[in-house]
Order: sequence, then structure tokens, then C-alpha cells
Amino acid sequence: MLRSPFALVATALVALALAAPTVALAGPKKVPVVTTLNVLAAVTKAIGGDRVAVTALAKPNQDPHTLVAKPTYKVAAKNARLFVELGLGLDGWASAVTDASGNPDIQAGQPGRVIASDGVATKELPTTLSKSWGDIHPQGNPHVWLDPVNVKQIAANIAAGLGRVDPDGKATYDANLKAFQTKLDVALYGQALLDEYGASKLERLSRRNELIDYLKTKGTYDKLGGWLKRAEPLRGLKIVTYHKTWIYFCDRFGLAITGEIEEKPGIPPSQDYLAKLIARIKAEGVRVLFVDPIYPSKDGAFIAGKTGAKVVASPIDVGGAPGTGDYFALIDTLITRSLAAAK
Amino acid sequence: MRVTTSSFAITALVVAVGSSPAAAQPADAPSATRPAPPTPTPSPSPAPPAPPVADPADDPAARATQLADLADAVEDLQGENEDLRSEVDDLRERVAASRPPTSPNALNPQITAFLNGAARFDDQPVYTPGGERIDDRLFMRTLELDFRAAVDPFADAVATLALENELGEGWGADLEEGYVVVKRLPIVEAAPLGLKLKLGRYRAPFGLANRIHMHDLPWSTRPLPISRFLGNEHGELFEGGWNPVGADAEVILPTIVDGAVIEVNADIVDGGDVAWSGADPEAHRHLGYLGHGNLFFTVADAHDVNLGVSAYAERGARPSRLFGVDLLYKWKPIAAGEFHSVVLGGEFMWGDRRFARDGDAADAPTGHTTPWAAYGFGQVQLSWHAYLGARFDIAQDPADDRLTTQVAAGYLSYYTSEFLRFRLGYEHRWSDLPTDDGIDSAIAEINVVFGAHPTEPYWVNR
Repeated sequence: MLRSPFALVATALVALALAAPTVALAGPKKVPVVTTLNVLAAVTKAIGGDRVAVTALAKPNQDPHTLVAKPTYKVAAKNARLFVELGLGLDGWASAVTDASGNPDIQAGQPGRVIASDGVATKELPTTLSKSWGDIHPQGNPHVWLDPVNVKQIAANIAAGLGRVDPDGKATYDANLKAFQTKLDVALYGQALLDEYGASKLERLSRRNELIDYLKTKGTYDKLGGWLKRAEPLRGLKIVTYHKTWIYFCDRFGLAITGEIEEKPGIPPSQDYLAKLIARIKAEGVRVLFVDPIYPSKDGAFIAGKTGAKVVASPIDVGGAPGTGDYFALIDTLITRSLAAAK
Repeated sequence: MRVTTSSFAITALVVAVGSSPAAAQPADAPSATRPAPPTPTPSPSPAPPAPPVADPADDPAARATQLADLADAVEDLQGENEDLRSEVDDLRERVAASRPPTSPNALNPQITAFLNGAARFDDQPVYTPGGERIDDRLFMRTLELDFRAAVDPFADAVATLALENELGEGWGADLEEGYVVVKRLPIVEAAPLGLKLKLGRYRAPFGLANRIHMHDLPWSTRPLPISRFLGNEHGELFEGGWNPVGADAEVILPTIVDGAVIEVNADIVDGGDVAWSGADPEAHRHLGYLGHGNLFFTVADAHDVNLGVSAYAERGARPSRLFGVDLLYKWKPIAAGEFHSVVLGGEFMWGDRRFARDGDAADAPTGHTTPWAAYGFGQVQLSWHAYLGARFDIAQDPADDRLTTQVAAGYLSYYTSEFLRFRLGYEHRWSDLPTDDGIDSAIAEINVVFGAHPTEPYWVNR
């Protein structure tokens, strides 16, 4: 009587273990890659091409800061040869997933683990660390992928990781990386400017936020194309964002962030704070509000109703809105929506 | 290589620029070429007159062109120099960005403190199982200190020390949990089925709520089945449950259906270290065996379902068995998921219990009961800050299954952030025990978390 339930469980375990090889053989031979965010999955697909099978754990409109790991995540991670996380404390749940997976190849420091933000210079590094500041990130603002210049480094990190776990495909990954980075440069600067100065110089000037002034000094501003040209009307546009998400995007395209709807990072606004923010928006002539779809829209709508500012539903991840199926479409969409709101 | 080229070019340019207009350099001479020195002229014989040499100083147009060329060259070199400096700055920034932490504290365990207090207001006297009167009182219930860190590449360790209110006996220190999780061994690079071994003292994987520490519970009190069957010497208001010393093996079974995860725990524990065993000394002379299976799946991304089964058995002169079924459903929308959610769940336990009746002596007569207990709860998230919930418990007395107690409870939780929570609750209790019957209680609770907060169990909202 006592033995029966245990014997049943043991029999079931053996049967499932025997079934496992069949399941494994039926699977694809592509390199299984798991990423935390969809933007990392999109870049990995661009670099890996047909050699990789990529799974993103977070959903595009899910708040990556507060996502709680589900058991299904560790099963995905258990079978991965490469695990890509952003780092900088944004997807801090990644370690819980890799730990629980029992997969030794994707633990921290192993060749199968990629911290995509490695080597990216962060902004808004806190000078003091205290929970009284809300949900702060000790290593700086983590939303680095919203600047296309940073995505070149993220892509390089992913390509290096793929090359480590799949040396046979390294030449392919390197070639795809170069093509991806060139495509990013063309999308950002336009072909004419890229031909004039080359990617290296443009990237350095961009990192120092001196590109536009430089081109005007040199009389080559008319060669500017791509996203930077499209975003020309946005330069100097004052905006308020829901969360401290947009510093990289705004610095790249020249928008000026006046404040946040959140009282402190990760803390929704109180009525008193909203009243003060509305007064500030009116005083400073803010015309546009960036509200990420991962947050509720009611506060943005309330402020818009009181101030006349327009709300931009601003997806932060690939797939976060219709027509944002890859990184290029995501930035395109953000610029298009911002331009429409700024009119 | 670029630096060398640039240095050479700069040197050449300096030489070129260093030639003053008075140096009579030919206008068409290459700018990087130094003019030849003047040839000696003494000659014994008269020489024919030299042909006229064009002096650039006499040709303003040529000089202007030369200067313009030089200005362009200087500008290019300045630009190149600036680029190189910028590149060095960028590299410095990247090195700084990827620099590992240098503080020796980086290798210390993560430390988190949990502080929990409660006040209760009752309409009649309330006693703990130990006989301590607790109605209309305020309690600092517990201070928990959680330490966790990687031990080496093969194992992690966790220690949770609790300073608990030992009613009537002041404060007591307790090792709530202290265990090592061995993830792999040097001789076994990848553990089969993701096997993880937990060794030490830990909250037993029996059912759902027993594994959760009091500060993470969605209620201010432990449900009756946990308290009565698994353990709580001070009653439902205080920290309790079952945390034996033992060894736990956890595996993830191969996926049969996409999206469904089956996990299995198999444990050997110190027998008798559970309320189900009562104070039976015989139970401690035998090992206890515990098994838990868990099926998890997600429907349409936002609906999570968790179904678990548990079984525990002790051998010996008074063998006992306890079984459990648990179910949890959670709805949390993908977008704005931090603002709305619904959680429904419950547990059902039953068993076959033999215990020492009339005292705890080894030769005490054996009692036999087959009690059962259950609870169900629901919780709705009203906003980012507020949660409203209700719970109903029913439990037979493990020592006398003719006696039943029931609790109906409602509560409202308010979070300023995930680190500070206030909760107000109301409970009504019915019981076949006259001292427990008809009690109305209001309970206020505060919970504080500070330090490096560890990742929470997946099912808890917040």
C-alpha cells in the first residue's frame, strides 16, 4: 500500500527519461539561444541567421524590471547553448533562471553566457546608492539599446558569444555582424554621410554628441540622412517620460527630457506629485509624453487632458507594437510616432 | 601604425611650415621637401650669368595656393589627432564600463533583513497551543536575516537566521534555513535532468504555502492545515511550518508537452520533525521520506497554473503518512502586469496518523486518526499598491479527528514599494473546541525588507 505511490512515480520517471532521447533527436540542429529581452533575440537572429534558434523569455510588452521567472524559463535555459542577458540590473532575474536550469554551460563566466551590455558606456551613474531613490541601477541607466550606436557593441558581444559556442559558424557570425553594423550605420547616418566620413569617425563623433555641430562646421550637413535626418524636427523637443527609459534615445536624437511621470524610478506617481508635474509641464511648454506600453496609460492620459500634451505610446522592445518586428522597425516606429506627436 | 604615420606627417608639415617666406622656397616645391642648401659659387673663371629664378614672394597667387594647401593639411592632421584622442577616450570609457568591482565586500554574501510585526484585537480571550494569552496585543513577530552566496563553481549556500518571538520565553534565535545547493560536481560536468541537491535544514517541499516564509505570505496568519499538520507551536499568528534537516533532490523531467514543466523533489529527512508526528519520540528514530511533484503550465501567456502533489511517510513502530494536493492559478496581464492580477489557490491534506497517546513515552499507547484539512484563497490586485483577498480554512484536529476548526478571513494589503507592506485583516473562527469558538479578530501587520533583496518565489505577487 505504502510502496504503490512511490513505485508509480518511479515508473513514470523512468518512462519519461527513456522518452527524452527521442524528444531530443526530433529537435532542430540549430544552436539553441535563449535571451531575456526580445531586442536581444532580434539582434541574435540577425547575427546568427539560419544557424540559430532563438527564444526570448520576456514578452515584448512585459516590464523587464519586475518580471518574475516562471518554471518554463528554466526548461528553455536548460537546453540552451548560449544565454544572452542585457545586464546592468535590468533583467536581474536572469541569474535565477540560469541557476535553476542546472545548465553548467550558461552560468556566469562560462562561454555560453553573454552580458550584452558589456563595454557600453552607461549614463546616469548614481553617485550614491540608496533605496530611497527608488529602483535605481548601480551600474547606470540600463536602457542602453535605445541608442543605435550602443547596439553595434551589443551585436559584437552577441557575435563573440555565438563564435565561442559554435566555432564552425564564426566566419558566418563575423560576416553577419559586419553587415548588421553597416546596416545600422546607414540607417542612422545615411549612405552619403557614411561614404564621406566612414563609420568609425561618425561613431566617435556620435558618442561625443558632436556630430551635428561638426557637420555644420564642415559644411557637410546636407549629406546627413537616415534616422538622424528624419529626427531633425525633434531636436530640442521637450518631453516627459513615464519611466527613466529614454535618456539614450533622447540624447541620440536630440530630445530634451524634462521629467518623469513616476515619482521615483519604479514608484507610481501620487496625486500631489502629478499636480506638480502638470504645473511644470505647463510652465516649460512640454508638448509630448512618452508612455511605454508596459505601464498603464491612465496617468499619461490624465496629464495630457490637463496640459494638452500628446501621448506617444512608445514601445521599448522589439515586438512591443505593430510593425516593430526587428530593431530597425522599432527605431523607425519611435521616430515616426514622435514626429507625429511633435507636429 | 597610424600614430607613426601621423607623426611622420606632422614632422614633415612642421618642417614645411617652418620655411619662412624669406627662405625663398620655390612655389611649386613639394611642401614636405626641405629646399637644398645653396651651392658655393667661388670660381676662378667668370661664369655665365645664372638664369633668373622665380621667387614665390613675387607670386602672390602661388603663395596663397600653398598656404591654403598647408592649412588643409593642418586641419586634416588636427582632425586625425582629435579622432585618435577620442578613440583613446572611448576605449578608456569601455574599459571603465567593464571593470569588475574591486571592493572586497563583493565576495561577501548578499544580506537581506526582514522585519515583521503584528497587532491583534479580539472580542474574547485567545490562547496559543502552549496556553499563552495573545488577544489584544502587539507583537514584534520576527527578524529574519537572509545570507546567500555562491560557495564555489559547484554550489550555492543559504542561511536564514530568525530571531523569533517565543511567547512567554522572550526572543529565541532559530536557524530557519541553512543549506547548500550542489549543482554539479567536478566529476559530473552536467547533472542529469538538471539535478540539484539541497543539503541541510530547509522548508520542506510539501504543498504550496509551507515553502514560503511568513514575511512573503499573502496573509497575516498561516492557514490551519499548515499550522495543525506541519507545525506551529505558537499558533497561526507566529512563524511556523515544517523545516526539517534532510537531503532534497530536485529534477526537471524531460518536456513531453511544450510549455508544461514537471518538477520532482525527493527527500530524506529527519523523521518526526513535523507536527504530524506530534511529540512521538519513536518517530525521531526513523527517517522520513518526502516526495513532491509539480506540474506548471501557462495558457495564453497570462494565465499560469500550478498543480502539485505531495506525500510523506514515516516508518517505525507508529508509521504515519500524510498526503497533499495543491493548486494555484494566477492571472497577470503582460502589459501593465504590475498593476493588475488575480490569484486563486488552495491545498488539501489528509493522512493516516499513528502517534503516542496519553504522553510521549516510548511505551505510550498508540493513537490512530485519519484527519484532513484544506484551505482556499483568492486575491485581487486593485492597483500597483493595493491587494484585496479572502481565505477559508477547515481542519480536523490531528489528535482527535472528530474536532473541527474553521477560519474565514479577509485582508487588504498596501505596498508603498515591494519593500514595505501594511496589511489589515479580519478573521472569524468556529471550532468544536469551546476556547477557539466564535472568535472575531482584527489583525494589523507591517513588513519591512531591507538589504539585497533575493529573487522571490514565482507565485508571490511582489
